[in-house]
Amino acid sequence: MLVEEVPKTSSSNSSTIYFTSSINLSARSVHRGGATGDEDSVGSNKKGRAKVNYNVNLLMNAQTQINDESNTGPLKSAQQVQLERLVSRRLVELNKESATASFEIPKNFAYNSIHSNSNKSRLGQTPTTKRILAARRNLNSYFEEERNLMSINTILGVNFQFIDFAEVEAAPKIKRAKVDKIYRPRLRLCCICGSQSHYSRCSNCGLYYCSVQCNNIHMESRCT
Amino acid sequence: MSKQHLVIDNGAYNIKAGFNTGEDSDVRPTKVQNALTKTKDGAIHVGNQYQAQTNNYSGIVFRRAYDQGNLTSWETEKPVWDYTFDELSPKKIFDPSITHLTLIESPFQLPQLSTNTDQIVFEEYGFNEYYRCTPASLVPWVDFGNKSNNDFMLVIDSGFTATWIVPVIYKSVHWEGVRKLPVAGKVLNGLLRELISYRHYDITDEPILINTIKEETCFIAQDFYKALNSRQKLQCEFVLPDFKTTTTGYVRKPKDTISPDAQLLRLMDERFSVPEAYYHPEIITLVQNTPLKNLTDLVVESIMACPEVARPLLSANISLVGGSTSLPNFKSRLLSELTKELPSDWLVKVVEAKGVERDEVSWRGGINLTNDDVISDITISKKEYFEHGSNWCQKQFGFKNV
Ligand SMILES: [Zn+2]
Ligand SMILES: [Zn+2]
Repeated sequence: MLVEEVPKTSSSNSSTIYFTSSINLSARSVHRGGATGDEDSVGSNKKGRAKVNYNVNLLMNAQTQINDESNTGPLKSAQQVQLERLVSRRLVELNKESATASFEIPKNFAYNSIHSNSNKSRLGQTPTTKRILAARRNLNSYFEEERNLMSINTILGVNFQFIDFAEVEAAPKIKRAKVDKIYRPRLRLCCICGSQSHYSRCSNCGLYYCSVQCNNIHMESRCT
Repeated sequence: MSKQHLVIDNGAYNIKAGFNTGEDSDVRPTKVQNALTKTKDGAIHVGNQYQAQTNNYSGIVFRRAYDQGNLTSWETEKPVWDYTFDELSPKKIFDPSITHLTLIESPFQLPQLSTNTDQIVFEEYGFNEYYRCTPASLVPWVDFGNKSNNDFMLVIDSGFTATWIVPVIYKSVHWEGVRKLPVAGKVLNGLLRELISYRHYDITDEPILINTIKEETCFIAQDFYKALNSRQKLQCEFVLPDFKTTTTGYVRKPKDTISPDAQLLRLMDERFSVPEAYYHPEIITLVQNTPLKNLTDLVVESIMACPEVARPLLSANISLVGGSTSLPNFKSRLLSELTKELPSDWLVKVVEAKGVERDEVSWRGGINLTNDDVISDITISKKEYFEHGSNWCQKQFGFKNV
């Protein structure tokens, strides 16, 4: 099982839930070196085996398949974990529909249906639906409550299908041919004009550019 | 009044809903934007109400019931459902107590969230009978003509939040083979928003405009590098809304004369670089060695996760579902990528349902299911629900852990 629950510590008002994950154990040496990730905390359990606490959102975004044998195979490198985290953040950013954050529903808001016989419908007909309709909870808090870890594993497992480059490198030569396909030619597009880039990437931020002109624009405006 | 069947495909982008009217195939679902919207004047609109506010499209903000593909906010969903029922039955009485509801929800919902939905269905609305399932599982119920084998179908469902690849064998989802690509309509909108805002105009607070530009101008390149080299030829001009002559904006045709102060968006590689994210997800992340698998990788994996005998049958019965598969060339590019990857003696084919829009396939399947006797065997009645408790539905309708 990839995810097992960690008994919650004192941070009771924290809105995030933490799980320990076996996928990230190999990252411990790096984390111990002091370069702790922003939302993770690292501790050791009694057996001396490092336990990595994971924000469930990150986990959800940084999960590999669970139904293959990779569980027993090499564990993810710190670099891989870092990459997956970056990708997840980026996806959250792109999935926003507009720059302005979404809004809260005002207390006095009600939709008056032509079919409802009372205008109390927003409040709920039974105690259960009252609770659901007034929940105002985010996804994290529902994950926190979910007791069926099998289900969580399944859901997280399917969520993102990452390629673990370390695993690809480690594959025996015979298997390699099969795996090599994963190294399909990557697109290198200029971050300024969108052309194909034959240059190496910007040493500062890692984006590609296609020409001296574009690089100049990049240095002036986009490079962080 | 006699019993009626209602089918709701509760998509994160829009709801497709309609009754089984018993007449044949040309009935189409009512589509309702699955959101509350707030215009700049502070007014809040439910479902499609915002569409009467075309002059207020700029700066409009959406609030959706979904969080990363999970239905978390019933305080948002309930008014939209109420609105949808009003749209469906504007005059006559809508009586859930004589209605059978077939509800389509996206796969792998957190069980507790599905249970919330079940509770709303029975306790809040009081539907008399209920069946809940995933979009893909209804696809084999659609008529794809006599050349298709509906016992083995590979459903590629690309909507708003994600692209799901779902093998459906003998009308049941083969859960072990389900794969998900985090690229779909919403991510493409995000990419387009960034590109246009960086290169042309700031449209970061124009969600409707972005979606229109995507739908009107974007396509999947059959050969990406070729397209990139001839991008000058592939350019088009999009006339931005001025809220006098146009409220949505449109693609300028060669002969169109436009007012001298009209703002034009000249789009070239944006048109196909954005949807290329299906095949080159590294575009999304700006990280060159992005460890994301692409659509081809995932489709091949999905097929290979199925029983060996079923594999060639699946590749020969691919069905495209969801609004984002309507991007021009979606089908032809997919076929050419898959043909390269799969054994050469396998047939790789996309089956099409005549006269059914891609985003209505699952809904149509749901209607056909309610015409079949089997529906009574898989349905849960209100009586059973109150007898067995709320977990009963999840036991019957939920996904299988893999
Ligand atoms: Zn350039
Ligand atoms: Zn740079």
